[in-house]
This record gives sequence, structure tokens and C-alpha cells, in this order.
Amino acid sequence: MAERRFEWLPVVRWELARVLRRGDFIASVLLTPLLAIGFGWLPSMLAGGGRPVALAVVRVEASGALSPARLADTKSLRWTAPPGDARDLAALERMVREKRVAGAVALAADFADSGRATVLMRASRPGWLEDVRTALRGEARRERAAGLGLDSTALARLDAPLRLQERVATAAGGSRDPQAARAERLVGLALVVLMMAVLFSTISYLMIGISGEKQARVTEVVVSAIRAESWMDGKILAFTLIGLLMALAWAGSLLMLGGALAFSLPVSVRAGSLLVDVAFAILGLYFYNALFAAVLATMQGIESSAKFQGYFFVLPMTPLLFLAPLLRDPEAGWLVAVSQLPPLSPTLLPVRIALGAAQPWEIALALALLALGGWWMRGVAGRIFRLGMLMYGKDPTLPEILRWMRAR
Amino acid sequence: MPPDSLLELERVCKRFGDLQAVDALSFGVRAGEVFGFLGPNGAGKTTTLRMVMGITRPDEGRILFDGSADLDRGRVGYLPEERGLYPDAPVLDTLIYLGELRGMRAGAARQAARAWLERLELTDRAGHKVNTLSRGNQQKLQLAGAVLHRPALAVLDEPFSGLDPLNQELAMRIMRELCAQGTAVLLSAHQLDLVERLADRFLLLSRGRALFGGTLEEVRRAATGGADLVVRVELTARAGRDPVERAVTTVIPGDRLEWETLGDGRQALEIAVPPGRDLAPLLAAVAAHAVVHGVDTQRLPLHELYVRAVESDRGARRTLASEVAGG
Repeated sequence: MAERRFEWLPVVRWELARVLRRGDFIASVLLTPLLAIGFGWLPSMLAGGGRPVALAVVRVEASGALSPARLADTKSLRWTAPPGDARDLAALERMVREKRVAGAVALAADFADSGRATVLMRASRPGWLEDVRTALRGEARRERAAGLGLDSTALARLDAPLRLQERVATAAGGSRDPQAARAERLVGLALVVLMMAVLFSTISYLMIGISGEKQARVTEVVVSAIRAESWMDGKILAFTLIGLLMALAWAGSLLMLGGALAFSLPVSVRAGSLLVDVAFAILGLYFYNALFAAVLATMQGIESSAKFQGYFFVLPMTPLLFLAPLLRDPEAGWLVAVSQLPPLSPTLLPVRIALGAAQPWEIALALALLALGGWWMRGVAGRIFRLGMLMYGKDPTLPEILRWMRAR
Repeated sequence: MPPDSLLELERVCKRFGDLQAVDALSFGVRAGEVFGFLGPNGAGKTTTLRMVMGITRPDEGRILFDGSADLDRGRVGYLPEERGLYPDAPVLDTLIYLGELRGMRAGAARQAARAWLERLELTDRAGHKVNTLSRGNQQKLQLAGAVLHRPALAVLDEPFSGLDPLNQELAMRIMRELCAQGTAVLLSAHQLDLVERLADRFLLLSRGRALFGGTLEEVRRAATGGADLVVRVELTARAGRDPVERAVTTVIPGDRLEWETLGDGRQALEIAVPPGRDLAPLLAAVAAHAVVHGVDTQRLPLHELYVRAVESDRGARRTLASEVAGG
């Protein structure tokens, strides 16, 4: 059967136009970053928007009476005298219970020696508890240093920071600044998360684009005009492009928002590393779209996803199973092997690269296997679609699908 | 392949499991003709058309388009029986897309699509979604989508389905115009009165095999064995029909008679006459036993030919089955 050059191109344009015009797609692209930001920031905004917590601080004399105490305010804590006339610890506790103060700290008379202090709070382990511990450690240090006759200059000398020069010896040879490595890890993980988010967002459009058209009986009209394989090529490419547009929109809006909020962006990320991460994200998106297209080609409609095909849709989540061992020992032989497999490499390789544990040949091989896997999978999707598209009213069995995969 | 055939099927077979859907089917379609491809449900028509369109492949035999086994999809148009459109897509965009799929450039497809919408009186619906059109208008849109690119071969499976009589006439005009421009139309439809008016040649398929094919006259000859003679007679009350039947059977053996009582009390005797038979002895035999008031020849419509041929084929199949069962 003769194949015209680029006969898949109208399909790409058509699918892009169809999806990009959809109101729900536009809403999803625009609203998702806002929702993500909202879910991230709303709780802290509601909790006071980063204002310091006001806590009462007193010293408990040997007699049990309370006397004023002073602690240095920090970014998160503001120390005050207890309101009214709190004469003893019981009175202070009552104030806390009655919500007249958020919490209170009562330092023992011999706090410098014994380190004893009582923290009064309404709920166990409030968010400010760790800050209080830090403040008390600092105060104890200061009081103990004063007891030893050390002035603030001597204490500053004791506290002078170490000037460690950390270098990460990478598997690829050479070394890297740990801050740059951390930044690259952050970017790598962000791209993986972005790819996953985009993938799961585009599944519904892919479903409409493949099994939905079977139900609308459009299939036969189209595959009489172009090869079924070309049709699937066009769809896979279109939905990969749609995913990339979505990712660009999301990443762009998040970066703009980050810039507006004056977050420091990881500028020390190497261009090569970023390119490799982006390549894994794009090829991963293509591979998974081809895989999903092949799976959807076996289905009569969305209701079929309740059958065995449904398991394929959780496949992108499987790399999560490997994350814990990977973070412990990213150079383990079995992890080097599994991170080469196309379904896993788009997630595992960027993490291993960020940990400095991937050799250049591993990166090259994984990229090549991923590209080949995507290419093979789109062929499989086309064959399954061609052979199964006229099977109305019945889902194919697994042996039938396996036979179609091998067909020419 | 005959030199004037644009499409030629040579002993094409297709089997689905135990079912022989198409069995050694051969026929050709010429440029500029409407070829009526007929048959009862399940005869194998749609399977054949799908093979012609390269959607499925024959198990045996070959299909040649313009002398080549390689179908040029840009030169064929297809209106399948199982058809649909993108319900949420605009009407004009849908036509343009169908044209582009057949290899038209976007500009040419847009121009052709606009012209077709005007022709179908759907210009004012160009920007509307397909699912806002009536079923008949959607059907017209699909017909336009199948022939927008002026194909050399248009394969139309049930193109009249869902169309009112006026739109059926429009569809027929479109097909005639296509033929006038040199397009070969392979037409499968159950509206036999329309097919009879439209088609130059026919092929009747039953159980995957060709029962007969050719022009309407050739088909009539093949199906009836010749002409149907209608003799209006007045019977003598005492003798009735029996002497006439015996006399006719003596001249033309076999079961070839049908009676009909007319409104004036006379009888119409319908006799299937084999080709080349001299009618004089036959009429003399009738006249010997009844008063002949009129003689006419009847040209059976395609519908009647179709029914007779298919029923005869089914009868033959039942006979064969009972013979096999009886050992």
C-alpha cells in the first residue's frame, strides 16, 4: 500500500487544533499552576503568612515565683512578658489554656547549669517547638559561656564557621560543587515530576483521541485515506507536543511566579545536564504516549480500562519503587541495569545523574534505548490499531493482542 | 485485466475463522461508470469494499488499481458503511481535514470544502459543530468528504442511508457528475430502485460469491433466462387453469408459470420464456384453451431480479445442505 510522505502531518495539526481549542484543556493549563501554588502556599498564608509567633518567657525562681526573662527575638519567634499577673507556673499554664498567649517558656532558676526549662503549649509538637529548642540551646550556650568568663568576642571565635571545601567526585570523572549538584538534583526531580504530571493530564485527551474515535466510527474513514500506522504516528506525535506545550506553560508560569516572589533559582545548573534531563523528559513523554496509544488501541472504550489494560496506566509510577534503594546506593549494579529500561529510564536516570552516579555511556545508552523503545512502541500501536480497529463490540483477548504485535 | 478497468479484482478470497466471507470474487470497474455492487446482508460486500480500500487484505487473489497492486489512496474516495464524523469539530474544518488526509494542500482543500458546502446548501453551517447538523446533513457532509478531492475511484457503501427523497436525488446527481468527470463509482446500496436508475453495470453477491453481473439487460437475461411474457386470458369456467398450464408446460417444460386474477375477472398468466424461444407455439397453446385478450412482455425491475436470484441461491444451499445431511 503506497504511503505518501508526511501523511501523518494533517493528523498532528488536526489533533493539536482539536485539543488546544478545548475549554477544559485551556482551563487545565491555566489553573493547574495556580492550584499547585495555592495548595503550597495557602496553608502557610492561613497560618499567619510567616509572621513570628509571640511566646511568653519567664524565669522560675527557687521559691516558685516567676520573674521576667529576656530571650533574643528571631525571625519566627517574638518573646514577650506574660500578660497580666502570672505569679506561678500554674497561672502561666492557665493563660496558655485560655489562649491568652500562643505558648510560654519557663526557664529554671539554674537553667545555665541544668538546662531545665518548661515549654507550655496547647497542642503537642506545635510548628514553633523546634525553633524554641534552638533558641534555648543558644541561650544556654550564652549563659554557660558567661559563667566561664568568656565574652562575646571569645564566643564568636569559638563559633567561627568551618571552611570545608566539599567536592563531589562524579562517576563521569571530574568533580562538582555540592551546591551545583543539589541544584541539578532539584532541576532533575522537577522535570521528572513535570513529565509525570503532564503524562497523567494528557491521558484523557489521548483516550478521546483513540478509543473515543473508535466509538464515533471515524476510524474507517481516516484509515482508508492514510495508513493506520501513520494515523497513530500523527496522534502520538501530537499528544507528545501537547504534553510539551503543557509542560512549558506550567514550568514557565511557575518560574515567573518564583521570580516574582524573589526565589533564588538554581543558576548553577550546567547546560549539558539540563539538556540531558530535558531529553529524558521529552523521549519519556513520547515513549509513554506510544505505550498508552498501543494500550488504548486494544480498547473499545473507556469502560475497557477496568480490564487488564488498566494496569498499563500505572506503569509510569513503578520507578517510585526503586527510588529508596537508588538514593541509598545509586551505583548498585542492578540499579544501573534497570535504569536502562525504557519504562524506567526517564525517571531513574535523571535522579542518578543528579546524584553524580551515572557514567556518560549509561546516559547515552539509556537515551538510545528510550528513543528506540518509543519508535518500536509506536509501530506496535499502529499494528494493533490496524488489526483491531474493525473489531466492534468486543475487546480483543491478550493472545490476540500478542499476535497483532508480531504481525507485519 | 481488461484495458478499460480502473479497478480489477481477481479471484479474491477472504476468510474469517470458519466463515468464507468472500470466495474467488472477480470483477472490474471502469472509469466513468457507476458499478452497482449488490447483495443481501452478510453477502461479503463490505468485506470486499474494505479490501478494495486496503483496510484489510485478501487471503488470496489480487486487487489492481489502475494496473497496480499498490493502492494510491490519494486517488480513491471512500464512504464506509460504518461511518462517523468528529461530533465536536466545525463542519468546514472537518471537510478540509478529510481533503488533507487524501493529500490535498490546505488551501485547495479549503476552497473545495467551501464549494461543496455551497453545493450542499450548508454554507451557513460552516462554523457550526458537526453534531448540530441533522442526520441527513451529516450524511451529505460525509459524501462530500469522500469525493472532495475528485478521486479516480469513489467507493460508496450505502450512500443513500438516512437521506430523504430530495437528498437521494441530490446524491444521485453528484454521482452522475462524478462519472461524467471520469470517476469510477463502486456503489453498494439496498435502495435498488435508485441503483437501477444510476448504475451502468451490476454485480450480485451472495455468500461471498458472484451470482450474476453485467448490464441490467444482461442481468435480466441471466436471472429470468429471457423475457417474462404476460398473457391476459379469459378462461372457460369449466376447464379452469389446468388445461392452459398443461399446454404451456408441454411447450416450455419447467415451473415457469404464475397466475394473477385481474379486476375484470380475467386472468393474467405470467410465463418466464427462455432466451431465443419462438413465442408462436406458446401463444397457440394458450389460445387453444382460453380466449387471449392481450399479450405483453414484462421487464423485471432490479428489485425483482435480486429477490429471485438470492432466493434461488438460498434454495440451492438448503437443498445441498439437506443432501449432505441425508448422506
